Amino acid sequence: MGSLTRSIARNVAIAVIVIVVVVGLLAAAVLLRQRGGGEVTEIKVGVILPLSGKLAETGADLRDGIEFAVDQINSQGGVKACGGVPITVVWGDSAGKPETGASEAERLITQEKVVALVGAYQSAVTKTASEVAERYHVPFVNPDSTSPALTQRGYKWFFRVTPHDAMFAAQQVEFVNWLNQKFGNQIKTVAIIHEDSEWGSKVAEAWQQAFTQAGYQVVKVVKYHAATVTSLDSEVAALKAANPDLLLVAAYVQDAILLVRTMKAQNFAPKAVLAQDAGFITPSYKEQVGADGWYIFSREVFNWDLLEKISRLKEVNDAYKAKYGKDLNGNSARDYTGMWVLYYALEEACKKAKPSDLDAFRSALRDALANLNIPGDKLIMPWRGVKFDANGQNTLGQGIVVQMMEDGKYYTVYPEEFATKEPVFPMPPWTERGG
Amino acid sequence: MVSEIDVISAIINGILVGSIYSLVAMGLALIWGVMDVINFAHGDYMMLGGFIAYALYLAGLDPLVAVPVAFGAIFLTGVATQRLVINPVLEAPLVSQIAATFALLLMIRYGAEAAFGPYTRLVKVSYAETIHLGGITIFVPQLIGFVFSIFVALLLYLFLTRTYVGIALQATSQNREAAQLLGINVKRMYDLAFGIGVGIAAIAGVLLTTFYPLFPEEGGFFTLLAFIIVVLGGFGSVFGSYIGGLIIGVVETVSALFITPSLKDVVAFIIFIVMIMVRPTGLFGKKE
Amino acid sequence: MRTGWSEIARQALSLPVLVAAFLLVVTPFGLYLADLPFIANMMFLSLMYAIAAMAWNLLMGYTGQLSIGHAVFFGVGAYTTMILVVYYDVTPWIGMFVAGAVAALVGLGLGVPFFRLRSHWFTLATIAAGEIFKLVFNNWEYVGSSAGLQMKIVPEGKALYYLQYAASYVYIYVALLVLAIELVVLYRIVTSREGFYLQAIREDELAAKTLGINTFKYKMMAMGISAFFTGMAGALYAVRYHFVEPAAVFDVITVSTYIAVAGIIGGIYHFAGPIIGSFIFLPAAEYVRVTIVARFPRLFGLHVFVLGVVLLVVSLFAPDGILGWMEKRGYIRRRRVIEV
Repeated sequence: MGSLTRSIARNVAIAVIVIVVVVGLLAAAVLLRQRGGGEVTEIKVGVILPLSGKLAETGADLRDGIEFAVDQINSQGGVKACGGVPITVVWGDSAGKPETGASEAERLITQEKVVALVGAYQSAVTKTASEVAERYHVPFVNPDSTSPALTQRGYKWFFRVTPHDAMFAAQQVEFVNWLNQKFGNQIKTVAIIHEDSEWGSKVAEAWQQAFTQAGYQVVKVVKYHAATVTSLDSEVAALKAANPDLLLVAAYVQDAILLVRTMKAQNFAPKAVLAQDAGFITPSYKEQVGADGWYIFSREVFNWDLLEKISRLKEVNDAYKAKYGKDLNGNSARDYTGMWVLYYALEEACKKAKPSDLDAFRSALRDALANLNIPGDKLIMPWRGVKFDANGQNTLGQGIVVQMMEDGKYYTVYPEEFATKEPVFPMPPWTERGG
Repeated sequence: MVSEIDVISAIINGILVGSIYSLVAMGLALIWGVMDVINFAHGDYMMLGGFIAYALYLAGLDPLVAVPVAFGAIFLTGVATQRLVINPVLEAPLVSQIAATFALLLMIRYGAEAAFGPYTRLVKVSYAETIHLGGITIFVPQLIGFVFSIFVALLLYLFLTRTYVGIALQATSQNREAAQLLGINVKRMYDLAFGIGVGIAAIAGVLLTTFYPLFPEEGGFFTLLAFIIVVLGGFGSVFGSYIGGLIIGVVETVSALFITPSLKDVVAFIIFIVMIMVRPTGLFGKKE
Repeated sequence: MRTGWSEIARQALSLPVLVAAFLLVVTPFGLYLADLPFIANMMFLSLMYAIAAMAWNLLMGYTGQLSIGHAVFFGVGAYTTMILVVYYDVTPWIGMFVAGAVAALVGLGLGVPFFRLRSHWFTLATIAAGEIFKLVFNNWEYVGSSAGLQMKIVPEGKALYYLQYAASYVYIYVALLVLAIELVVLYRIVTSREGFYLQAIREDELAAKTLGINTFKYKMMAMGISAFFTGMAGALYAVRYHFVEPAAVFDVITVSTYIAVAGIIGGIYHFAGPIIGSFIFLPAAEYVRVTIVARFPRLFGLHVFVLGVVLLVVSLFAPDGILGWMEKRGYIRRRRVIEV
């Protein structure tokens, strides 16, 4: 009996201790929650990027673009309308996974109390992260995801600066029309080969729609699984059998290289090959593909030779190169631009609300983004400007078309106002080239 | 829609690519047969072989020079792995064995990614030419890879059937206890089996690098394929695995002609599952 | 023979269980109050993986069948919940259980052929099944192919019906509820005659057969239940993130392997092993990733490499997991779950 009483007494004692500790912790938690307030000495922006995982290489580029933009903004006096406070970036690593992107978004919003989010490169991650932002009523600026679905969700707090794949597809049709005008209607049939992830599939869908509508005949669509592809022999054979005038390609790195090699091996040379950036513009591809990559067109958002055409760009690129030892590319330039777009909106928001009143400020920032109208000459991108429609899509963005010439470099060939070379068309057959 | 020549071409290309699968699978079959261990990191040793080829290529040598170098280096790595990691878990439950080789996979694959970066590399060989034979195209490096793979398979065959050590290896795979009673040093046989097994995978990695881009994560898919092939070829049957590799290569290229190519791996996996259901001893395996 | 409800109540009311339950219930609210969503999310993920790993261990620790294909059930569960919400407007409260049921059906469907296989073969077949499911969902238009499905944001008045909340701590309670149901079901099974049969199969399937146990039937039962709760774990993923895509929910590494590793690290021969394993492995993996990425941003795979080292050390030096190791050192007593 005695031992039972003792054991009950011990249990009660332990239970009391646990409850006291927990209540104490809860009280501490409430106190922690009340911290903050007062004057704002910085404007915090959350940036979500794939800093680890398969896309870490790209993530590092994107981070440099953001970091460089923030350095420039702060060194020219910070956000002036808010009393010249600097912008601070709080980084979130999505690890390339949608669930991690979502939880990082929540952390940045509730714990770090950022005024806005920027990111997140992969469309799947942008989907979940921007959904969290939408629920918390926090503006989300997306400089770099191209899935058309992102701006078809009716979100009020989501702003995409870059053009999306359907816009690119429409522009690619214009490019092909232009080629036809220039070289006498040589392109009538089109074939598509694409990898089967969300990106590749959506690009292919957009192409099929745009090219069919414009009166071209899509004679073959082939898809493959990039993660496991060891041979594209059958795929290329099928394309060759369809004998298209133009081949459209959406591929990552290994498969892009493999495709070009297989095309050469099977002597399959359509009149033109037009790729959708990605694999075709990575440094790995450019270094490795050599002469086999000559004359292939790729849609791009940015190219080194734009330096000659966009005056602001040269200055920015020189400073960037001095700091990071490399040129800007399509990814770093787009995220750099995204950060500047956010800055212009911050200046406007500061006129309407104080950053210390977080909810009001976020809402003012959203309105500022929605009403933004930045002319093209303030940007380093080959765009006509930045202006968002009701879905949050920038309507003034556009891509460019580049072609790899015989020095292994890509040159802009379209649109004409940015072109530095005339396109080579049709592509010479494999047997008739040097290298 | 699909012409005969396409099918013939696909079969030939399938055999060429499959001969590399075959090498990877033979190594796996050897390890599996002798030690009764599944090596989840097998494709990653193959990837290491590819990086050795790449290093020699950067030094100005033909990647094929790397065949003996990669075999030797990865053989030694394999022996070390077997002594430090595999041997301690040989008698442990299946789950510990799998956990250990899976840990190896993570360490090799992502260690390589940390050391070399996740980038894709490409080797340019001087003989990267194409032969055209009446509508059929053959890529020379693949043909050379095929010849090498037959050569390696033959060497392995001679080693396993004509040398004392090879026969002892086979004896160990057939009956561990009996082999021990006959005075065979079973531990030594394990060293050899694992070393040769991953060494052959490394040769496959070298050959692959002459016509396929090299990147640290490339091993994963090859490991899966090797499992399928070993099952197809017959559990532990080294030569069955060779034929199994060719079959899977052909199945992949030919099925890509008739179905959505992105589903061609599904065909291989379904063959695998049907195979282990219907004839778990494989096409060429002995009855258990 | 089967544990009565009074016995379960007695076990459930024992002090350590009560304290743990109390802490689990209070902590999420505290995390919410303190604005610590990172930790709250860690807790949710640990619970989600704990549910899946507990289910996985009914097959592994109790029945001796190693699956590295549980992503099949996880993914099917996630997709079922999502399809029901997005296409049929069915509340996830019901959808989660339907998800479990559909996953269980898939499990039974795979069990018929797979249980004719032993040891390695079974494991390999589960890996292949995982790859097949991923590829098929990747190409299946109805479920959004590779883009997956995302829920629409609903007005706040409908938050409870659609289980859509901004704050992650709410989902911890949903996960706790599922885990509680699972624990009761699993505990009743492993302490019953069926549980005993399962362990007999694990120890020696042939001997169990000779004793007249219908081994196939009991393995199928274990598979069905295992798939059911793994499917519910997948449903939690869909419910929490309002999004599914094949690459995320059918992943061989972050789903199939993580589930198995959590179980192995915790200890497959202890009832609570997978829970302990999940609560150690996931936060540790996340911590390693965050610190390493911060310190060595250019060494891309380093954090996974470190996980490999940890797994190797565990499999070499503590093959029975943390609980097994503690038992060996005499820190804990092995809970006898079999009453013969």
